Amino acid sequence: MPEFPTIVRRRLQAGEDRKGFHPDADTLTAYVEQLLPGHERDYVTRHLSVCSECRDVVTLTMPEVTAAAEMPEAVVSAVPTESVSVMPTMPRRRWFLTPAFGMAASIAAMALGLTFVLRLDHERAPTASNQQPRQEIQARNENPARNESKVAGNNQSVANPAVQPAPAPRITAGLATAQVAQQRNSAGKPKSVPADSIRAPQPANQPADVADLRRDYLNSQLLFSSSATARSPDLPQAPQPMFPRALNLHAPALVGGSAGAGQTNAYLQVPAAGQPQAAGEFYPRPGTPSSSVIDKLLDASKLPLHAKKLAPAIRAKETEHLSMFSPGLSLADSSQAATAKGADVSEAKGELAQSQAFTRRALTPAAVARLDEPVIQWKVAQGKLLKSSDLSSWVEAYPASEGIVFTVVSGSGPDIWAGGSKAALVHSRDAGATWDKVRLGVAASGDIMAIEGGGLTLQVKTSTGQTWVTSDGGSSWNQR
Amino acid sequence: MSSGPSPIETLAVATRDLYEKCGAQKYDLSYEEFHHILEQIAGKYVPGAPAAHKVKFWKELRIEELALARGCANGQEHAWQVFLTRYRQKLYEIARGITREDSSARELADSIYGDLFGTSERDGNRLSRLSFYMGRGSLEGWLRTVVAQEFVNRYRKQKRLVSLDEQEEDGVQFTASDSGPASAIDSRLSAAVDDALGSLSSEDRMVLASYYLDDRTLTEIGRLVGVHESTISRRLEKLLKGLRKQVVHGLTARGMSRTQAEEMLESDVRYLQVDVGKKLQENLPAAFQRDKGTN
Repeated sequence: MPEFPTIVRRRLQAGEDRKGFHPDADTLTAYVEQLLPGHERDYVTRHLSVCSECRDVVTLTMPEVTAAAEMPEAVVSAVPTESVSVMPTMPRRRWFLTPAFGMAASIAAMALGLTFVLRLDHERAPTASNQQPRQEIQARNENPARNESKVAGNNQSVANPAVQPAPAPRITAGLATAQVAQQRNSAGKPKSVPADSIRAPQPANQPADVADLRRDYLNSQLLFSSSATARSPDLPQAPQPMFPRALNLHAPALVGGSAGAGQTNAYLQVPAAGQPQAAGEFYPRPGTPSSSVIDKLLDASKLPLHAKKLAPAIRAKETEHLSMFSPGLSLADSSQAATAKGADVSEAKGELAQSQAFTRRALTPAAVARLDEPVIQWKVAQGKLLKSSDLSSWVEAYPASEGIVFTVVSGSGPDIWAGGSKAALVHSRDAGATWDKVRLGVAASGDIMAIEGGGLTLQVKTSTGQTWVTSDGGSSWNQR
Repeated sequence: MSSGPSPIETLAVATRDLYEKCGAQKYDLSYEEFHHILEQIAGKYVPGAPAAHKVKFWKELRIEELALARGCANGQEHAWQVFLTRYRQKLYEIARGITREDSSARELADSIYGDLFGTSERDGNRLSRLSFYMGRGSLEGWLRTVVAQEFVNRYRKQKRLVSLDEQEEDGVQFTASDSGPASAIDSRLSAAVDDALGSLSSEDRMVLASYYLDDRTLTEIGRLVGVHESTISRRLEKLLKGLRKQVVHGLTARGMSRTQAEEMLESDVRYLQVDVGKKLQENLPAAFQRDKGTN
């Protein structure tokens, strides 16, 4: 920060004497909550620019200053409470409507568009001029001796085309150095792999940009490891990658796949312990969604081309518990409310619903998003898994072709578990958009009668009296 | 020729509508009393406004919370039950958030609670602070403002009453006075700086004062203005550069050479490095002591 001249500070301080009347508490509150009309806001801002008392008040009044989470338990337990804690949020100024931002966004969009067009030209329509160097490099790799003589010959032909003298030592030495370096670089890489094959294979019917996006996403999820850890038997033997984009990976072969025997993971094949791993091999990070899930997400979302680097969106609902002002962090939880609740709470609760303090404007963005989200209802009827967003029309949520006769469904929000005949268990993390089959274990038998719990810890009971428990969200199951 | 409803009818319809919506009956507020309250608020904030404007203004008020507050001010038992259920804990939380210290928070909240209940009297009537709530912002926000005002008032009073012993312990009595260079300030420089400051917008001036006079962090200022802290940082830099340029320009316009003007500002800055920062951190309670580096 540049230095602040003393004289400016003094003159600024001198101006503080011309403050006039202080705005009342109501006006300051409306100012903080951005409810004042323009002219009044200007008046308060003008006052604040010369009144340190009101600046202190306004700064202390900002909602974020009051840290509910820091409230000591003793203080809270001493007062009657109700388990509603919604802080009013201050709407942010629309900074993105400024001309500067508009200009910057336009320039960025043009740059992105230009980059994309250039890249398309380069990738889809290779011209003779850019194919030729590649062919020459390949030819050199295949026959260095011929290259050497060719280069030397060219050089000589410039000097004296009539005579065929000995090769020029300087150029030869340089070429030899380059070849040695090239051999060093390619050590560990199978020579049969041509340069073009380092691109990830793409399904024929998939657009190139979507495939690139999927590959980028998978690359970001991959771990490079040279340690002797276990690996999946169906992972391909990949060469030592030079950089992440050069991986010769095939997503369907890496992730997903059929479940193995015993405690299995339907989302990711966790390799058995003790199997050695070659240097440079890579494995998906545990928790990586299967490629089919990613494909479906990408296809469904129809992402624009400029969104290549975007990770899948994190819903506000999923991160709500991390918020400083989420109900989860409030001290006014249900247990405290039960012990310290005052009289006539039931009536007051009804009034809370009518309170203007809890209108949409006063809610946190996460709470508003939750209000807007349609609530999906689930049920099992006649062996079918059904869902509805309005309780009037029910649609089948799982393909009947799979042949599962459903008996029970459980879950909350987008995390849905459903069980059926022959210990069949399916799981959706996206409110039924995609499903994964989950195997309890080889010994599992009977129909699933109950699914209890949620999140990472789940308990499944079957009609044969078995109880299967997972504590990692379904990756592994133990019979109790 | 058909004419619309008269202004009096418009106001009456709007008042009746709001009266039914806000549930003032539950707090034993009569329609006449409620209408009087609305007229009082409009008279304060939009005096002389036409009926349509007045109705629009009323509709933007937190009318349900206004009825609750006025019910409490009247001493209505049910209103107090609702108020306590909703706001008593929040009052402690707000006080704790401002003072950052348990005992002070409890004391401050209790004091405010007494004011809200009304411990003083005017013309034989109990005077509750809730009768000053006008519903322009949320009641919770208003409570936060009231607590903050009380806290700032107490702090400023306390600051004036620091004992000589404490000053001596802190070494304040023996610190060199910073008024020396002030006497040597060229009047042309003062005028140029005043001109430059006068050309700033209110918000820019508020940003400067918050950062350099109140020692507020970039985060706090950003929250106040409604932009990100990095924007405030860039804005401060731009402001200072602009100020410097304007002051130099003002000095040259007053007959100084550019070199002389810049030297004058440079010497002023060198003096500043001895002074600022240390002085700002003296005698500040927890609520005002924040490290700018950490934000």
